[in-house]
This record gives sequence, C-alpha cells and structure tokens, in this order.
Amino acid sequence: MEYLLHLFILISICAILGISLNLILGYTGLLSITHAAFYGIGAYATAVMMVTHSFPFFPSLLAGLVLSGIFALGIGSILSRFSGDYFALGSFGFNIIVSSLFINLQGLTGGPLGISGIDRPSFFGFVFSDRLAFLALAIFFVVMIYLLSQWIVRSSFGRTLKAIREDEKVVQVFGYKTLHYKLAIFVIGAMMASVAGALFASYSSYIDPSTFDLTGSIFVLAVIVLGGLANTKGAVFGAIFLVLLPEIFRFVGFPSALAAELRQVAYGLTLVLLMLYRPQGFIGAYKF
Amino acid sequence: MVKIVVGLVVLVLVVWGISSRVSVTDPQTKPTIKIGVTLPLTGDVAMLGKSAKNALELSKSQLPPNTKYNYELVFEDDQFKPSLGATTAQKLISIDHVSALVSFGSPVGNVVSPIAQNAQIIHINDFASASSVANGDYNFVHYTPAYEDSKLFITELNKRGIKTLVFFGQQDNPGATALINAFEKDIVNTDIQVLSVQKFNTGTRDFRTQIEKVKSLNPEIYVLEATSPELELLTKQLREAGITTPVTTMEAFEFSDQLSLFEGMWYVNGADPMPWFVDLYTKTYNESPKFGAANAYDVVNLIAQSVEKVGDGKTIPTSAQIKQQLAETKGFNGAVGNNLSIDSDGLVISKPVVRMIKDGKPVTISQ
Amino acid sequence: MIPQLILNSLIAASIYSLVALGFNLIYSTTKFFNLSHGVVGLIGGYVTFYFTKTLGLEIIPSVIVGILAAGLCGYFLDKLVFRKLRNKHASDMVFLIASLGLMTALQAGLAIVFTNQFKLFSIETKTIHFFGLMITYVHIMTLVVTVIVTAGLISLLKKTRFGKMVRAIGDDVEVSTIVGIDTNKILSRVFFIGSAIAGVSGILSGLDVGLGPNMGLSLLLKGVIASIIGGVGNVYGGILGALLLAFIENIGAWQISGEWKDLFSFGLLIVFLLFRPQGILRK
Repeated sequence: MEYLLHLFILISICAILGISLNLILGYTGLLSITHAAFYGIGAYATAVMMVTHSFPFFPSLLAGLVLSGIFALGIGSILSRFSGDYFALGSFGFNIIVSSLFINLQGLTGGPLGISGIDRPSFFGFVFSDRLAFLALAIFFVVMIYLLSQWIVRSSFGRTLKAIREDEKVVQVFGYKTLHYKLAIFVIGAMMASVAGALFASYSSYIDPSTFDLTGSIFVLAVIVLGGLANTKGAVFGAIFLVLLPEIFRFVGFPSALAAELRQVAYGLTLVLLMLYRPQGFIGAYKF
Repeated sequence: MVKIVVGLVVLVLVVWGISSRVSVTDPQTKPTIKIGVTLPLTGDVAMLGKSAKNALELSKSQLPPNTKYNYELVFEDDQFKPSLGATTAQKLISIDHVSALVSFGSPVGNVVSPIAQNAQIIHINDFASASSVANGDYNFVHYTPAYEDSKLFITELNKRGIKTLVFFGQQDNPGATALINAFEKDIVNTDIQVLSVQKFNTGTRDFRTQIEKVKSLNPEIYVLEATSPELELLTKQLREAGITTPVTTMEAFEFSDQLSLFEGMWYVNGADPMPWFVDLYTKTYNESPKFGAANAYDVVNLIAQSVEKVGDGKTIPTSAQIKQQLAETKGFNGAVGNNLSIDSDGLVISKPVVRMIKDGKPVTISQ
Repeated sequence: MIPQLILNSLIAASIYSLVALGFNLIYSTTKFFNLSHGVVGLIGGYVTFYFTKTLGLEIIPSVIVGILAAGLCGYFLDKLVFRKLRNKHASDMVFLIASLGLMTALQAGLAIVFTNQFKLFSIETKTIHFFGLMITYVHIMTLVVTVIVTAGLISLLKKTRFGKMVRAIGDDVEVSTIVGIDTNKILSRVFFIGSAIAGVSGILSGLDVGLGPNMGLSLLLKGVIASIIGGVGNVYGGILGALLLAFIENIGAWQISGEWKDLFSFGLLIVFLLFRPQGILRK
C-alpha cells in the first residue's frame, strides 16, 4: 500500500511537469528541452529555504515560484526570438548551465552531495508526514494546475498560442507581438514546474543535481509526446504510463543499476518509435 | 488508449499484490534480523564494493549456529553515488523493513546518515574518513577517522624532512575534504606548508590547466585525494607534464587497480587487517581482500553482538535498544584490530599505518 | 604558460572541430540537428577499446574497426530511422526528438554493455618536450589526424562528383531529386562519412583521457556549439568555432577555475545566440 502511494505521488509530480511542458511545447510549439532546470530551481529554492533558513514549506514554494519565474524571464527573452531547432538547442544549453550551477555553487546547493533533511510540509500545525496526506496535497496541486492549464488553453490567449504554433508569421502580420506571448507561456510553464520541484524536495527529503539535468528534461518530453501533445489529459496519461512502466523491471527482478539504464533505453526507444509510427501519441490531438 | 492504461495499472496492482503475499513469514523458531547493505557493486569503485560484500557474507557465514536470531543481508547497488545511496537506503527501510543499515564510503554515508537518523534505524558506515557521517546517535562509523590519518601523515612528513606540499582534492567527496581539513588544522603551528589546494569535481578528466598552474610552485611532494578514475588520470597527467616529484595520499591509492602507477611511493592508509582475516578471506575467495573489507567483516559482528545481548530470541529488539547496546561496545576484537571501542561520537577508533607500493603491491612499512 | 595554453587549446579545438565537421556535414544536407551524433562517435571509441583491450588486437587495426563501426552505426540509424522520417516529410521537431531518443537509448545501451566504469586505454605516458612545451603522442596524432581528415573532407566536397551532389542536396533537396540525384543513397553515404569522422574524434578523445558512457553528450555539445558559433552548415565555420570555443574554455579555466568550463562553453553559445545567431561565417 505504501508503495502504491509512493508511485501515485511520483505520478502526480510527473503530471504537473507534463502539463506545464505541454503548455509550452504542445500548445505553443516551442521545443523546450530544459524543463528539468525549472523543476530543479523550484526544488533547490524550497530545499535551501527550508533547511538553511528554516522557512516553512509554503513560503519556500512561493520563493521557488518567483525564482524560476525570474530565470525563465531571463532565458526566455533570449530564446523567444527563435523557434524550432535554435530554440531547442538554446534551451538544451540553458539546462546544462543550470545543472552546472547546481553542481558548482557548493556553498548554496551542497554541490553533488545535494541537500538532505528537507521536512514535509506543515500547514497551521498539521504536518503532511504520512504518505496519504502528502498524496492528497500533491493531488490538490495537480488539480489546480490542470484547471489553470485548461483555462489558459480555452481562453483567447490560448488560441493565440495555438495560432503561433501553426504559423507564427501570419500571427505577427495580424499585429500580435508573438515574442510576448511565447515569453509569457514559457514563464508560466516554468513556474508550474517549480511547484513540482518543491513537492519533490519535500517528499523525498533529499535532492541532488542529477535529477534535474538533461535526462530529466528528456523524460518530461517523453511523457508528453507519449501522452499526446496539446492535450492536458494526455500529459497525465503519459505521466502514469512512464512512471509505472519501469516498475515492471523491478518486479521482474533486474538489479537496480541495470534497471536504471534499461529505463533510459525504454524512454529513448519510446521516443523513437513514437516519432516513427505515431507522433501524435496516445490521445492524438496534434500531429506535428 | 484509456483501456490500455487502465489495464496496465491493474496489472501492476495485481503483480504487486501477489508478490507481497508470497513473502510469507516462515513459522521458524528464530526471528530474522534483516541488515540492509548499500554498496558500490558496479561503477568505478566496484572492486572495493564487491570485496566488502564478500567480507560481509563471510562474516555472516562465520556466525555461531546457536545465535538467538537469524541474520539476513539484503544488498543494493549505489555505485558510490550519493543520489543512488539515498534511493537504496529508502528502499531498504520502507520496502525491506531492515533493522540496520550498512553503507560504504563518505559520499553515500553522508546522505544515508540523516535518513537513518530520521527513520531511527541504526546505520554503520565502513570506509568513511569524514566523521560527519557519524552525526546523530543512530549513526556509527567503523573506519580510521581523518584526524588519526592526519597525525600519522605529519609524523611521516617530519621523518622525511618534507616541508612543502601541493594538494589535489576531489571537493565533492566528503572523505577527501575531511582529510584535507584535518591536515590543514594540524599543521597550524608547524613549519609544514601547503602551497596550494587545487579542487576539482568528480567527473573531471582534464587536469592539465590546474597542473600548469601549480607546476612552478615546486612542492617537494604532491598529495592526491581522489577516487578512481580521477586518481589515475591526475597521476598520468602529472607525469606527462614532466613532473617527477613524488606523489602521496591519505587513503586514496588503494582505490585504484593500477597500483604500478604509484610504485615506490609511500602513503598513509587506514588500519591494517589482522592476518587471520586475510588468511580466511584469501582461502575462501582465492584473492586477497581489498581495503575496507576487514571493516565490513566487523560490521556484521558488531550488529550481531549487540542484537544478541539485548534480544530475547522471540521478538525483534527495537532500534533504540540495539543502538544503546552498540554505542556501549568496548573491547571488541575485530578483523581490523583487537580491543576496539566505540567512542562517544559513534566512531570505532582504529589506527592508520604507513604503506608503500612495492612491485605493484601495498606493503605496510610502519605503524 | 601561455604557449602551453595555446597548444592545449589547439588540441581541444582539433577534437571539437572533428565533431563539428561530421555534424555540419549531416546538417547541411538533411537540415536537422542530429543529436545522436556524439554517441555514435563514442561507439567508435568503445569498439576500438573492446578490440584492442579485450580481444587483444593491435591498436591500428582496432582503430580502423572502430571508425568503421561508427560509420556503420550512423549509416544504419539513417536507414532505419531518418530515411523513414524523410519519406514521411516529418517536421524538424520530429527529427530532433527522434535523434534525442536515439541518443538516450544508445548511451544507456553503452552503459549496459560496457558498464559505467570509466575505461582507460593505458596508464603509460609518452611525452615529448620541445621549446618548454610538452605534448603527448596522442596529442600529436590528434593534430595530424584532424588536419588530414579536414583536408580530405574539403577536397571530397569540392573536387569529386559525390561532393557536388552533396552540395546540391544541401542547396535544394527537391531540385536535386528532380535532376536525378539518388538523394537517399547520397545521404546514406553522408551519414556514414559524418559518423565515421565522429568515430575518429571519439577514439582520439578516448586515447587521451579514457571513455565513459556520457562522453557522447559532451562531445556532441562541444561540436554543436562550435558549429553554431562558427556558422551552421559551413565546414570552415566549424573549425573557426572550435578554435574560439577551445580558447575561451581554456582561458576561463586558467583565470577562474576548472569546474566552470561547461558554463563558459554555454555562456559563449548564449552570447552568440544573442548577438550573432547565424555564426561567424555564413553558409
């Protein structure tokens, strides 16, 4: 039972990452391969605030939101000038820079040794220490972000984003400053990812840079491509599938070191096969 | 599509459900104490991890048959990486429900300690130079502490009249950092000088720029605190730069399986294993034990002795009880030495030795 | 110290330019960033290691096998994946994601087959000292091989019929097909050659500092940065970009600290993206 709860919590965190990347990639068409960096900024902000400065969880989460928003604004304004391949490569580079910061700013982040001893959230005296309570909290956030995402998508703002995805030049001709739209959704997506980071930090009580590097971004990419781009439900399905699938390896009894590599092979092959045979993923809302 | 996903979820649930039912508790007379062990079984330090695993299994097989409890070892691989160590420790605690944790080395030990302390499970690390791993009353370290190494190192430097050194330190390894810090503290009122400390992260492969930087300082000896493969690459690149100055270390050389690189070099190492242990291990496994194996051997005995003293043979003693007994261990005769005790910081004090590589093999030259 | 720094930069630049060379070749013809390029090069290094260390073959034949292995790997990736995507007229994003997936899977595959343990070819050091500088045999080989391969590729592109067809495809794929060029066949060869060159860089890098499964990514990134700042698709641009990148990295490591090397590389990329995204040289 504990183990199931553990999996569901991981799925929830993953779903938040998927939904948020979907806004950037699925709806707006920006191939961002740096989502894990914002996940990490949220996680580290929370960890540092809670462990070094003894702040409670929710203010720390807020700090993470603000920090990743600022970073997203910074790199976003550079990248939003581009699209397609250059956007992707630039975002790739950004992820590596952020990883490098996590590893090298050892005074702040503890470097490769990470930060441990992060507490569970407490809310006016109630501590979310057991898994069921934490799952409830996580699901609360998933639902909020899901609703927010749907609201954005159905608004005229969302329609403009989809139009940008289809043909940016035409949208510009109509007088829209597409740069602002792209930047806005990039920042929103990044801030949502930081929420996932805060939850992860508090849940696992220990974080280190290796979770937030390129492999992490590729994983989130696989989640939404699998579930189907431009579909919020798809992101959730992708999260469920890709978190549960490797657990099968564990049951079949693979040693844990091998299982990690096999998981990577599975993610990589999933992406390749999907691109070859079903780029629109499970739900199939957007074929790109 | 939805059906496929739902089907998968159901499948996972069913498999999990069955597997948890299958682990029926045998109606045996002796309860089983599970000891969870996280070791580097693959990766760059696998050689040491496997040797430790052998020693642990050997120790368990040597337990007398009339113990009140059965002892079971559960192994996980952490590749000497703190991130994996955190995962394996969590898994051992929440899924395997172990009564004790064993870890190996400072990087993983540092991460497992707060987890063990939080979960209130005793945790013994064999192989950590950093005494911070023993923080918290549930955490213990069975390895020669950094300050002991440092003292002996200074004695040896004085014996050989060496006054100037340059350090190369793997800064994300708490063991390396602990050793360097201990040394810098101890030389404060002496005439020994550290001309430079060059820090680098695990994963660095090119040390050439840093070597260029310190070459002109002309130290009498270079001290390398690094694990494999940084250790070999660093040594190789030092030689390529034309530096013929001797290299030395506290603890690091035996991480390498290319000991010929350090031929003729002296260094400080953790406590020597007892001859009876070396014989026993060599007879059982047809190879000599690697460094850290003797300490691993003792860990099982330390735990077993404490459990046997507090347990009644019917129920599993609480962690608090085992912890209390363990902390009071005195006069323990182990594979690393006789009459060992655990001090108030949770450290088993053993004494370091000075060794030299002769014909590609480590030989102890003084205590 | 400065002359040694320059020499070190030249050697690093050689490796980077080899990766950029193959990468640019593939990009100029297929118009997508092949992210699996680096790991394919690394496969060359690992195969060479396997043949010489595990099977005991002499070093030179092992190197040849390694280069062929890398080339073949690229060839098959094209045949099995990229060609199919071309036939479907897939968008750039699809190619990018597919190559990303291949990179992830192949890198993990290497870790499974060869383990995560870092592999060193040898611990012997053979250096030559001249004019106060020092250089190893592997470094000399690196410089020489880079010059030979670059010159070879440039003359292939400029002087042979094959080269002309490659350039034609690079200019306009549809017109080339209409004119009768068998684009798929030429592209297969382009992949083979580009990947073989990547294999050379993987092998040279391995001989110098050893092999680890995630080196494919670092090789790729350096090659990509060199290509972009030099001018994507331009062979000479890749070389210039590699030189600039290597110098900035080494100067940064010298003045500030070695750990921030990656930051400098990517900082340079961001600077170029900000001010001159088309790179130093245009196509």
